[in-house]
Amino acid sequence: MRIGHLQPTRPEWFDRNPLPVTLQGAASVTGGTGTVTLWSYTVPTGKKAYWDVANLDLFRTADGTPNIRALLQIRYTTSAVTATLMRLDSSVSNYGPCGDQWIGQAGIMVAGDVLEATYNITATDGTLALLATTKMTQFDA
Amino acid sequence: MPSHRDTARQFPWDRIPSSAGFEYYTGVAGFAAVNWTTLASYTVPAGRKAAIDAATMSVFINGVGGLNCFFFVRFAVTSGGVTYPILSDVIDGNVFGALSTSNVGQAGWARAGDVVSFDYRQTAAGPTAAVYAGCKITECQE
Repeated sequence: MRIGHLQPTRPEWFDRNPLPVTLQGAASVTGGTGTVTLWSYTVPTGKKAYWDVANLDLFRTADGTPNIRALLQIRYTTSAVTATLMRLDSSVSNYGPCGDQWIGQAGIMVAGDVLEATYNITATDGTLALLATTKMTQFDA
Repeated sequence: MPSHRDTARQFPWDRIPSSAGFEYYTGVAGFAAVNWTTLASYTVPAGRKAAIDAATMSVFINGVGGLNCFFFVRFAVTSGGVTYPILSDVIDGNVFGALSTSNVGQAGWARAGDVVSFDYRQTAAGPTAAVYAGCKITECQE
């Protein structure tokens, strides 16, 4: 007699052709930039995606004007809502780290939802190195 | 006798998920001392549950002068008349440029009728500040 588990008629989401998706963008930025997109991801038709983890990192590589903001963020756009979901916001003006931010297990996205990393450096002097990374698991809807 | 039930689409992500959430940004100029004040909120609709997937917020002193005071921001869930903070941040001072940012992922579930809110508190009549809040919420069938 074999004792085991029933084969489910429909497997769990992580059994439905899971595919890791990683996006990473880096830049060295001088001066006022306006809003610039580092990367963008749209959930394909017939798929869903679970947003597993994300990391933002900002480092000033040359002094800039004091108290001018540098913003690195991940934004989320769906048919129902547009919002920034993760921010790294700094007014550090001297050479050195401006901070790191991490989140994990940030939920589901459905087909058509868009995730994008953007930055906006207000300072017109000094330079910054920035890095935005995320990993998702895409699977059959 | 099987010990596991059939898992056919029992997982929340498969129960008609839809996106929700909100974004809020403003300069909160002119606030005197205020106790917790809700600046933005979301209420879970009837027949739905909601996963609070991710939240971010920042507070930034963008003025000068006034009293040296504390600026608090938070996300909270109010359920059954009780408020449960899930993410908090504070800065203090009266000098332009001070800021703080916080992020969190997967902050649990809210039930129909529960309220997810972004709240603000200031301890004295200080300088002006700007606050930002954004959150991602996924609704599904109960």
